[in-house]
Amino acid sequence: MKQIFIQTEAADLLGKAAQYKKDGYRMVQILCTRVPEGYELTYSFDKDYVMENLRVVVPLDSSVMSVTSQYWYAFVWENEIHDLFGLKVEFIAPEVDYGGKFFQLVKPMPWHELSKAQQPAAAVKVNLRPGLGVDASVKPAAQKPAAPAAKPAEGGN
Amino acid sequence: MGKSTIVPFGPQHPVLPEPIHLDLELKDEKVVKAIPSIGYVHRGLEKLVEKRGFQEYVYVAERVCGICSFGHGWGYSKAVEGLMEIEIPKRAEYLRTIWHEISRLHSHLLWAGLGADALGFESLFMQCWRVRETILDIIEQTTGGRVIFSVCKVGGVRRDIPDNELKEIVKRIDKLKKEIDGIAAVFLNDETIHARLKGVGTVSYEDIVALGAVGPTARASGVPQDYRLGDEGGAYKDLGFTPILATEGDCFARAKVRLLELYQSIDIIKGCVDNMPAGDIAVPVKGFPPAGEFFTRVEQPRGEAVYYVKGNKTKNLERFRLRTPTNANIAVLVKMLQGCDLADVPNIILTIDPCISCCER
Repeated sequence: MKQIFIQTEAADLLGKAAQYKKDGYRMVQILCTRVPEGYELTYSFDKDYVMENLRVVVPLDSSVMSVTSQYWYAFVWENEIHDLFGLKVEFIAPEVDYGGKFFQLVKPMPWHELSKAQQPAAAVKVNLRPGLGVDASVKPAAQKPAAPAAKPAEGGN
Repeated sequence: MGKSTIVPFGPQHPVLPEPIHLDLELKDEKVVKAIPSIGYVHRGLEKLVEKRGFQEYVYVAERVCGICSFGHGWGYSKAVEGLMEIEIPKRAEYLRTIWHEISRLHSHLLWAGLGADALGFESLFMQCWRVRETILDIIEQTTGGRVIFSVCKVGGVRRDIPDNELKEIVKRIDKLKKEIDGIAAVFLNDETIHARLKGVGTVSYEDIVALGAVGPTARASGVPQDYRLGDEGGAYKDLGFTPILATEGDCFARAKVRLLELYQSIDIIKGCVDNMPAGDIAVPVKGFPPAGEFFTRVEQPRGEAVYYVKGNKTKNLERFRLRTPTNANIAVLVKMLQGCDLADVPNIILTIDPCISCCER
């Protein structure tokens, strides 16, 4: 399957979605991935079994515009992204904006944290008896300082 | 018109094998609005890809759903194969196609039984599930499991089906065809079924296109949307494929499309057996998935499913995403329920063949 990814800005998203709709594309899905920069969103559109993917990166403290004005059925994925990742999606069609209640979850926003592979090395926990007055975690090994340059040979007398 | 009333439907309801909740806003007996909510069986299976090796995760992907389990294993494997640029042997492609179509027979017969049960047609329900037993026996004979196949792997398939066994399977499905004739004759000609399904939950071609519906739900409204026509892999391109369509767009049309697809699946299986290539069933997979991403799709019994994988040069994938057919059909379900009678709600929900486990993953 041909892979087509088109990088775009969040501000252009709605305009591009409108263009896809005008050109007769079906919206296939919205994918959200947590990345160190925030949220990586992929909007997939299909026509004649060829899929094009719009790629938008949204910073962590930011939000993204809903595409329900163009593709009403995107509410399923937009509510899902909000409930699982915690990304705020602005202006979802009011009759299908669940305000965080689409998924009935025990833990809110379970996928908000970065995956372990993407996280910086964390302190390693050590199981010590309490009350020893010792820090119970070991910091990750600091980078070894570069080996000192070899001493210049002393001039012999 | 009386005053508006909200009637909760589900998450536990006799016609629902899995939990989904709908708030039905009624005026007298008519549904004005249906508001769905899901999440009762969300298991975070996509997230588990970070903790399981990419080869091992096939088993998890298969457990997203018990009915489309083979398709999920195939879709996941196909996505990883795409990412790693692995070309699998032709025989493996044909074997995957056979198992996938067996899976479709299993799914559609299960659906037919559930549909008959919802209509109160107990004997038809039992007949459908009795016929389905033959399919489960074939699955057990060829894979060792009855629901979870565990035969698909990255690089091919784990088991071969010997040629003599393939011929025996063809004989069994030929017999099965006669039994399906009996079921289809009742479904398509019974007056009570006509009265309950014809003209109910009708959705037009335009609405299907506007709401992005997939699978038999879309095909029953005349939309030729079937990924087996696309870049599905398997044997579909070799054998040639034309989707089954209906134009009425009502519950009866959705039932009819699924029943006719039973015959189509039997023909595809026979085509695969007749043209089965010789050779290996898998190629060795070396190394880890590279940094990159890959989308692929599979036409599941309920419609198009989308698979996405993202690799990072380690044995664990960074992301796996599955957009299931039910996920795409929720919006059209909301549309179908508008204006229907309360008594028709169970039938309408069942005719999109919802799979909530798939939908929530």
